[in-house]
Amino acid sequence: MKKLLLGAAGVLLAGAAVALAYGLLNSPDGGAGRPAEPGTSGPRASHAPQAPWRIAVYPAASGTNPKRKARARVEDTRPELARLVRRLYFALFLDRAELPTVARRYFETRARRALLRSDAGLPATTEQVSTRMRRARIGVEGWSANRAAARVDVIARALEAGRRVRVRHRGLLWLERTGHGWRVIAFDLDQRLLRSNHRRGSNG
Amino acid sequence: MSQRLLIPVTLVISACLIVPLGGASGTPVSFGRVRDSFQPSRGKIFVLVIGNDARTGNPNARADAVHLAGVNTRTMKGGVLNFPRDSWVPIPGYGSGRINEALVLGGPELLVQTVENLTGIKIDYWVMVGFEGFRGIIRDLNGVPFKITRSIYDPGGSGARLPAGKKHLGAENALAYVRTRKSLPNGDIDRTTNQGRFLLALLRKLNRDVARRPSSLLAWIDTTRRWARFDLSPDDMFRLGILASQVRPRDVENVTVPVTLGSVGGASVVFIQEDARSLYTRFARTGSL
Repeated sequence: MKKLLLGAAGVLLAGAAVALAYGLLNSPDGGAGRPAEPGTSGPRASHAPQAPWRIAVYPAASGTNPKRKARARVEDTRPELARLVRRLYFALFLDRAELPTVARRYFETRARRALLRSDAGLPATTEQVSTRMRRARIGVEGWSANRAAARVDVIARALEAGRRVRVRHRGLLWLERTGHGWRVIAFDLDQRLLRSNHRRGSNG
Repeated sequence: MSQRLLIPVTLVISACLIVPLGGASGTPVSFGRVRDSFQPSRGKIFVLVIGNDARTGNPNARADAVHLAGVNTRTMKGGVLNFPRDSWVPIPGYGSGRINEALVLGGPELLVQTVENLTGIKIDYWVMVGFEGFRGIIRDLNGVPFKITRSIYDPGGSGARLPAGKKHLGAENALAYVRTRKSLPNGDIDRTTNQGRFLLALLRKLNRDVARRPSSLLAWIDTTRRWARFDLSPDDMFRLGILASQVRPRDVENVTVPVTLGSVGGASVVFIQEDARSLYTRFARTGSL
């Protein structure tokens, strides 16, 4: 009986741990265990599962391996760059209403206009948006840590007017550090349809 | 030149190919590409690329390679205009002389002024490398894929032993290739054209590197910073790099100014023909050749 109780307790504990991990990984900012950032709890993100962000920040330098100082400089940029990517893609895919705010905060003037004129990401009318993969690789200039290039890949599913769509997005962000933090100065966003079907209301 | 470094950065959509998914519902989910790139306000950028013959400990270097690279940032087409080093041209403040002497007389600034006076094209930046710098750049870039159209064998001069065909040129072979002139039919004129071809090979490699791994642009900038002299700020170099990574090499013409052989005071020189004026005008107006 004692063994049975211990076993049941173990199962419960393991279940709780899995639930906790799942909850953390799928927090609105997508970060593993990070608190939600202001303005990132979008209406389309609250129920559908979201993939955790995998963000790598590394020093980009020529020739020999970067020195310890360069690595430390680059490491210092990680939180802000990761936050920028998470917020931008949250706005593009999960809460379109946030996009003007995010663009104003993180985009250089002309780049902001170009972004807001474009239809990149998913429109506000899509429902049940579920990101299946979110990954960013950010190379930061080793000697100054003032410039960076980010490659961002996102795969998302969504329901658009009863039509299920699966989207593969690949973004390239050119970033520069200014007195007001990191700014996107140019970008290249490429979005493709992976597959679609017509199962109305399906979570497919 | 310092004021020109402050060219305002403007960014516009260079291509916006949003393709609607379509369907009866008129779904607004869009697929395609949205791009946005570095745009100077004038829509054109000209950079003077200088290769000098400085070996270690040679302060009076002459310009053995003078190339004016331009790009129209709206059409994304460009050109590389090559000047043979013996071109007899007016040098501001020094009468006339070979174009390569301007570097000895007044440094890159005077060479820029000389080319500006000659062509009527306002040059935004200059970049200069010597032998060591060139070797260092090619070494850091792990060589450059290059197609040699005709075999080059110049053991007594540049040391080149390069059979025709596709090669991956390392630092020594690349330097030998861009230095070779004695074994070429038109000597220095052919060498100048070959140097332009090599610049395009570098552009092709930059395109490929950045397409495969965008952060490699930062490594390219780091390499240039370490091995070359230039009058660009780090921010300008970053923006120019972004721009260059989007220019397709096939949209860049490699043209050598038309010249005739001659001599001045017993020294052999080349005279730039009158036809070159139309080239300059077109280049200045369109940013391409």
